[in-house]
Amino acid sequence: MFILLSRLITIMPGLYIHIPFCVRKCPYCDFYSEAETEVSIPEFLRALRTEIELRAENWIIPDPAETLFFGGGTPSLLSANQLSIILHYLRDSFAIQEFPEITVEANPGTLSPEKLEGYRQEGVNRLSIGAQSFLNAELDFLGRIHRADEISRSVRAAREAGFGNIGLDLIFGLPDQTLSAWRVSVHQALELEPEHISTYALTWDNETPIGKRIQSGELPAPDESRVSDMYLWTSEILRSAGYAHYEVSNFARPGFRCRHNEGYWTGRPYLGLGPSAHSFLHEKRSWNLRDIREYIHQLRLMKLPVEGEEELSYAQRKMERLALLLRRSDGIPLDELPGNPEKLDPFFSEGLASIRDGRFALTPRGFLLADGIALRLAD
Amino acid sequence: MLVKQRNKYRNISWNVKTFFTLLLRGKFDILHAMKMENIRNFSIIAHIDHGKSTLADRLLEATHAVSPQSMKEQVLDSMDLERERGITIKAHAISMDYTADDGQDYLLNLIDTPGHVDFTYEVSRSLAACEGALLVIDAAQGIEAQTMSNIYLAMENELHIVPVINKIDLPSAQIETVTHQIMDLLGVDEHEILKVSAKAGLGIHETLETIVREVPPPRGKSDAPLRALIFDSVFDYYRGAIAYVRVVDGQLRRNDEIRFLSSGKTFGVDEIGVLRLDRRPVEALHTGEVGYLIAGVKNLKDTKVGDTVTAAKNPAEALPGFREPKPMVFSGLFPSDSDELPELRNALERLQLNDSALIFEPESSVALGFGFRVGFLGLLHLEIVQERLEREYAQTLITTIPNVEYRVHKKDGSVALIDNPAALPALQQLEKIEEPYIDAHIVTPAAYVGNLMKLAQDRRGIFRNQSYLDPTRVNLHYEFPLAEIIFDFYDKLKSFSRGYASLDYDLIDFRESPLQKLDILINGDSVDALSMIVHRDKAYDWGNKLTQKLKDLIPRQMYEVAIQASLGSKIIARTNVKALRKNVTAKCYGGDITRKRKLLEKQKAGKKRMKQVGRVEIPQEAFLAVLQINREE
Repeated sequence: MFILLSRLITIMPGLYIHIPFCVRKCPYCDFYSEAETEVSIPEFLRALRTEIELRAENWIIPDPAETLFFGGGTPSLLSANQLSIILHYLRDSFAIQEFPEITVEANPGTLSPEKLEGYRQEGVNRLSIGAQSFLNAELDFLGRIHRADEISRSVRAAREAGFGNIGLDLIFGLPDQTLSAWRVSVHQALELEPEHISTYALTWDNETPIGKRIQSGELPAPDESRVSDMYLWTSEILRSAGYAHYEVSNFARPGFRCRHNEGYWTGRPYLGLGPSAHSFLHEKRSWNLRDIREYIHQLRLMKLPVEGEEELSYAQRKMERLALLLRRSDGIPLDELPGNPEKLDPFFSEGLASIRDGRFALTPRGFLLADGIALRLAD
Repeated sequence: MLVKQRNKYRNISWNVKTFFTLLLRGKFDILHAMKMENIRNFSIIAHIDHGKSTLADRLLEATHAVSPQSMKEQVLDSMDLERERGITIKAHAISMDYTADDGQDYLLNLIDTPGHVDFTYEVSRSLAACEGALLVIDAAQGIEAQTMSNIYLAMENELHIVPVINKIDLPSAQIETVTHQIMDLLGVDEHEILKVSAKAGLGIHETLETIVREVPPPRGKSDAPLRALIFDSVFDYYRGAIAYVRVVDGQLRRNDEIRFLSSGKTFGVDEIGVLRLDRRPVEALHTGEVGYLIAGVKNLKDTKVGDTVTAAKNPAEALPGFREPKPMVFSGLFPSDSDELPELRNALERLQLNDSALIFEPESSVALGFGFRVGFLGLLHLEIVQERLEREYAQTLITTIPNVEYRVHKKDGSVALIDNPAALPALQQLEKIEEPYIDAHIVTPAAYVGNLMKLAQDRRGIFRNQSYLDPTRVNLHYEFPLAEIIFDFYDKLKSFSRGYASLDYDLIDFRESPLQKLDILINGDSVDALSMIVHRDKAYDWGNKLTQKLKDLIPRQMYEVAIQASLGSKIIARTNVKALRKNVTAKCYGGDITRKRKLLEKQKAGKKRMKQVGRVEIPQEAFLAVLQINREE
């Protein structure tokens, strides 16, 4: 039943291209990228081309791609020309819709008006800018290469280049960060009037340098209660500014949700290209090698650079779908919720969830507990 | 067990000596009839770790009952768990042939005894099958409480006691002190005390000679109607219950119709035999002899330890001392996954086949669902059963707080035995509650008397008297409510005395006490599986400690969890677990979905170890929180 539904509703696949280069590694980031590598971008592009061609031969992509997303790493390290080359490869091998959403993740420290104009000419219509913070001290702590004032400059330049869909990413919940410091960044972001804002709580239970420093006690762990307060405050302020809190960490003006990312949460198929990129096709999840040299090596041998894959069991798919759908303000159709409806009562009485249009959806307070609620509902 | 022993037997290397030994033994077993005067039935009694098993090993070697090569150390302890815990849980018996210095052949039957306070009755029945006992005392440790209680048991059974000081080769041996202790306690002369090192093989010959010389031969009437004492029984999946018996009067023959007096059930004897490393069938067991009996008995409960086997046609009077196995400690065992209830029942039934002291009945708890109320001889027995269920039967269990059995008098005049606090009638209906008391002996170096008296007082002990075993060792005689010693008293005793004090006890009676039911409420709902019966004076203290402990054990949930302790309708302690505010993956895109799902799966597996009570998830270990409080104190 679920397979059937997902086939009917979510047919349009997404394409994700991972650009594994950065000027410098940020100590909080656990995405794969290389800051100092002898591998050149052209060398990588050759391997990427091979992957695209092999994938096109081996994989049947169900339908024309609706969204393209350049993530990283720092995709904005690509020149407009290099981006154009990749788009050509993709159009040569895959069916792509007439008006796809094409997003590029951008670091304010890598954007010039010329580059932005070039991107725009190649058809990029959405820019996701990694602002992270508007306080230089925080940017230093986060190891970012840009300064606070570069953010507004980038946004203005993007507007001038014709971008009508700009997103800003912000990070909160840094060790010892106060609510007032966080307010500064949110207010500054709002002044730039982006169409989309993502606010991510710092994740520190991982192997990143900052994660390790917190786990070892060298840095104080962000206070859960304060981080939760920041989160709820953010939700309130952004909603009152006209943004919909449409996913745990994402806010958008009407009509400007990120369609590509929505695909991840709604179970839409996607093909990931480049090292460490993940794919979800035909109910199978697979992931590429997380090493650019290995990636290139495999492709020279004309082999798919896949490191692993897993076919999801019915129970796993159900669990996954539940957990992913609960992340969205659209929630999950009531008839898809397993088990006794009575067990929903505590969520309502505690103000964690509500029912809208026959769907069970979490409130911002519920979002904060989304994983726990998903587990509870999956029982 | 027996299969294991048989394998050991197969491994014996076939040198010439062994060949003749076996040939000779074979001859004995065929003709087998040994004059009563040449039979010696004896036990070895000792405190844990005083060297009982090692001495048994040496005796078996010296009489060629086993060869050293074939012997896994300590033949008599064959269950893995016993080996690990260093205690003999179930008694076995073995026969040895011995040609004494007087030139005569003797048949020595060694009847082993379990070595823990939980099994006093079983020990007493093993001793009742003997005429003598080797009392083994560690030269470095001296007499301990268990030594004392074993001596009393041996005396009650009118055994001849052969004192043996073991480990005389230890540098810390205090042979002289221990000798004096023994002389004072038993009223024996110094020369009557054997000095042995079982480990080094010193004094083994003297021990065997002393057994032959000092332990009286069996006295029974061979022409009287059959009376045989069951001193142990085991269950064999192919043969059914196998009873280990000592023929007291008359003869036991193959094909006899026999009757077990406690149940009155009759059976036809399929096989009888003597006990070597394996079972050796014989045609008859005569007066004074020790052996086994197989009679197609399908249930171990029909071969109760201490019961009398007699002839169905010509029944004799029961031998004295029989007691139904009586559990002293009760606990609820619940499968952590309620679907596994049938497996748990099955596992308990199988354990019961070999453990007639284990009793259980279905129990249902509002908090934990369906499970079993299980009765144990003591806390060690509980731990062993729990461990075997988890290790041998792969059960994941939730065990509730152990408690004793209470005698509850209601206002309407009725009296009931209650082994489950949840079943205690409402306060208004209660006339009085009586609890079991024990008579306890604590033997300790004099230096720790003060500490231990404080401990005893804290545990509502009633001081009876104290006596000096020698200038440095004291025997403290107390009466305690059993409930006060079942959890951790033994651990405390050890830590208050740097490990030197020892304890032994016997149930004496039920006495009225001001007892009350302490309930735990989670978010306002009483959790039956956490209820306990406590003394009035301790209720507030318990309430506080228990709620605090639960607060530490219950993880934060999506909403605040209130934990309260109540006596009747009165709340006596409260605390709460603050709500968990944040449990969400911040970023969740392409690559993170697999990771996120794995994270959720891990959390889900963790949840399996939780029990949902109302809206609250309670980890399994919380149900034993009381034990942890005691240990931390």
